[in-house]
Amino acid sequence: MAQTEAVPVAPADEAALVAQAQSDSNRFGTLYERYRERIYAYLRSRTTSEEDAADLTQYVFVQALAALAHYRVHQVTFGAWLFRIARNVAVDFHRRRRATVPWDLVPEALQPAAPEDLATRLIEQESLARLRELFVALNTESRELLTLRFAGQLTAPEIATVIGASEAATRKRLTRLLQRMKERYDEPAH
Amino acid sequence: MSPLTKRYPDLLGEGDDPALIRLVADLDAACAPRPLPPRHADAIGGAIERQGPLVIEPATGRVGAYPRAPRRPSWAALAAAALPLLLLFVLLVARGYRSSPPSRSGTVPGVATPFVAGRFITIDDPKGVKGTSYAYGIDQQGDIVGTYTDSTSASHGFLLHQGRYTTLDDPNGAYNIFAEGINPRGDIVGRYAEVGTLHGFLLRRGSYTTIDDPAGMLGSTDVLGINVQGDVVGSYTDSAGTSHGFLLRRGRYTTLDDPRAGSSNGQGTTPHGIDQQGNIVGTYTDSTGASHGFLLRRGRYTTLDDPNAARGANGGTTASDINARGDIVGSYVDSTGASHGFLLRRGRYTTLDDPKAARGATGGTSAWGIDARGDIVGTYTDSTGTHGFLLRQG
Repeated sequence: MAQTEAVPVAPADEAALVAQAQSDSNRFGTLYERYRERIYAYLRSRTTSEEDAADLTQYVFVQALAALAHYRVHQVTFGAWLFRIARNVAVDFHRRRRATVPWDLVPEALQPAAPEDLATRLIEQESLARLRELFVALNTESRELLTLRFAGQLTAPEIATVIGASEAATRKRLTRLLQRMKERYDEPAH
Repeated sequence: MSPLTKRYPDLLGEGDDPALIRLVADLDAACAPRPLPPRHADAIGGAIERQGPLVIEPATGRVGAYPRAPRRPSWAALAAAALPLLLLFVLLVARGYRSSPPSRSGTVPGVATPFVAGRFITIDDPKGVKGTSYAYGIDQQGDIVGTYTDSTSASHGFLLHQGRYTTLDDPNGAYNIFAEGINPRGDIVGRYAEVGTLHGFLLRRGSYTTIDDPAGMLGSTDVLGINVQGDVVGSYTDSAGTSHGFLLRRGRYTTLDDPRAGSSNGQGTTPHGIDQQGNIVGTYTDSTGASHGFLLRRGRYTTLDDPNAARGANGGTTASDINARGDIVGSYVDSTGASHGFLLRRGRYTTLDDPKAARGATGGTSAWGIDARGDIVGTYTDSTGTHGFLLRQG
């Protein structure tokens, strides 16, 4: 199964990168390289086109750069801070468009219009259909947990920061959600 | 320890159920971050390197990565552009500058005038990051509601009363609050967001009530306007992604669909404002993706298209609010992609451009609310972001 390896995040390393970017905005590029695909994947799940997701990705990073001076490493990890911006940008985008994305918070590969080659490259069709069925049956809260964990590659404490919940509650919800999904995953697709 | 367990130590452990491992592996594969399309990656990288300018089209909310290059008009293009203006001038003279009532065809053709007299006053909530304040609604006492974003990227509503800003935050702790409308009684409506969902709210005498149209997908209700009687208008989205308007009157929801609206994803009807007679203004998106304003009066929909608006999906008109005198405000997008506010009074469209707004698709002005006296609130965008404005006429 083809897969893109997520970039491991070492907090100390990241704190140094952020400090460098705060003192010299030309160094922001490293943080951008590190996070752009994850931010894009998250925003792609919240939009109906590559173009919109890419536009919003740009907006997230330009906003982050503008607000970088306000960011404090000890308060929240950079990833959680960035995803919080992304989440707000997505909400704001829906608000301004006065529209809601029907497949909101469903990863691109599971959306009905996902490119065929991507789908076949990522996962076998049967499993894809089953996952899609499970995903769309979830409420948006659960979809967002999964999207932030798997597309955003955020840890449970980071997700807790993004969605404004406690770390313990977020862990518990993630674990229970996967347990419920696992039980239904083995059932035959309808 | 397998690579998967290393990546998800909080979800997987040694000796875990193979079914769980398979689910996590499949989720990991399906959700895996993938490269941006190269054309976007290059554009985004370039924009960040330049640190802007950020391209936002305020009326549509579209955030563009690709600034349009200003076109240098040829003499032939100038001549072609001048011809309609000449014809318009002849038409105006022939009509004796009379206003035009709504036509029986259901469209207000309108006549455009170039400016409105008045004073634009910037509204920036001091608690917000610079360039994040939006003024959306105004009542006849001059109280203004809107939204700002703080340094943690959270959005808050605000009420501006006699020069003082009061933050509006849902006591339930919703992460984002958007205050959209206010009536003369001080009732405020808007929407709040929590964990990916949106809900309408009514704030009356300090108490928040959630508004979710039962006909819509849960978490898709947006409340945009309220009149003095407490009638509320807004929209919800169905499972196909189509937007439908609603009127909430005395606890009862009535769906509002402009018959010209398209029914595909992203299309549909969105009411924005309601006056004390029950007349409703808003926007519909037709089957081609083009946006038009509408006025719903006594059960009949009339299309409102600012004559300066570009046609097609990249242009369009939005009608945002109506006051007791029947004056309507809104916004249109012209052929350059720039947004402008408008005032429609007695059949005549007047363009509203805050002089501080940046020109072209990177800037622009949008009008969102009007009170009984004709004072208008809205937003303009300059190089630092978006700001609210109050336009005092006279």
